[in-house]
Amino acid sequence: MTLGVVYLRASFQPSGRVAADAYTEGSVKRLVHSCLLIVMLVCLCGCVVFGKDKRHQPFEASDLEGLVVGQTSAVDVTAVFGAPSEVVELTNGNAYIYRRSVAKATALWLILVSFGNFDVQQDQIVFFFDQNDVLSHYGVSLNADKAAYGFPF
Amino acid sequence: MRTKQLTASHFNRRRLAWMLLAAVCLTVFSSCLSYRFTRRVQGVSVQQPQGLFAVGQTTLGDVLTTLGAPDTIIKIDEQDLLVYERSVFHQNRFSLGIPLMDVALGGSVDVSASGGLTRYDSLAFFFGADGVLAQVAVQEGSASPYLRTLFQD
Repeated sequence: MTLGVVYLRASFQPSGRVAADAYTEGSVKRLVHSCLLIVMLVCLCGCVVFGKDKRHQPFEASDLEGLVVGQTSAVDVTAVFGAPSEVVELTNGNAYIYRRSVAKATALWLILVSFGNFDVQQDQIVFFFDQNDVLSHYGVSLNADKAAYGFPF
Repeated sequence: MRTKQLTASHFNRRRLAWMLLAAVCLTVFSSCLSYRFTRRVQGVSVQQPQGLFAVGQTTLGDVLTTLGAPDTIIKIDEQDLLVYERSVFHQNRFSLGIPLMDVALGGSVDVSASGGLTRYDSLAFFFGADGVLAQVAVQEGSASPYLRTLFQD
């Protein structure tokens, strides 16, 4: 729209018409380039943000080696792993859950478009105790280190 | 000659004015139309068991050994429910506003539309009091298409 107006006004200038036309040919190109540059600057200016959120629970998977199913008690587990994140009552005992998570966020803000990506992964150990508080089973999932930065596409 | 110089100078000023106007318009109006895309993933992919687990045979220990610690443990009546889950959230947001109205009228015009959808891939195991698998349920929510699922009643 802007380009059209400039070109028409230059072409129909009553005095110095030849000079105006000659001038306009080159100037329109420059104007196009300038406008393109401005559009690029406006559209491409933005920022990228990286963020990390960690919910820490100080347990080590290597501590599992000292546990024996059928012998280790709930007291032994809490002595090694500390207070659980959650305790769930089950039909035949209890489950102690130890959980920690890592969330990684990546965001790209441009003027017109913005993208955000959040990846949340967690390490989790669950101990199952029977009604005598003796360890019957346990399960381990260590995925916190799989949390990754990246774009959502 | 003088006419030519005046004309060239006239065009220079006009061109500058138009370029400034274009720059201002681009800067101001480009911020009024925006699109934002957000994705949030929680958990690792849940694999659907293919003949791995059999109702009446598989034990709690088998599941824990194969899949690791579950994300959720719940006691339901006389059964224990273990859930492995991955959630994927997608949100698209379009926003259209006219910032100049802030200056002119002291208020802004802002129209925005957004759609958010969280899909779950879940694998649920129900165990009886004896620790033997009683039921398996699978939900593959990530297979549902975004738009159709979002606008579905």
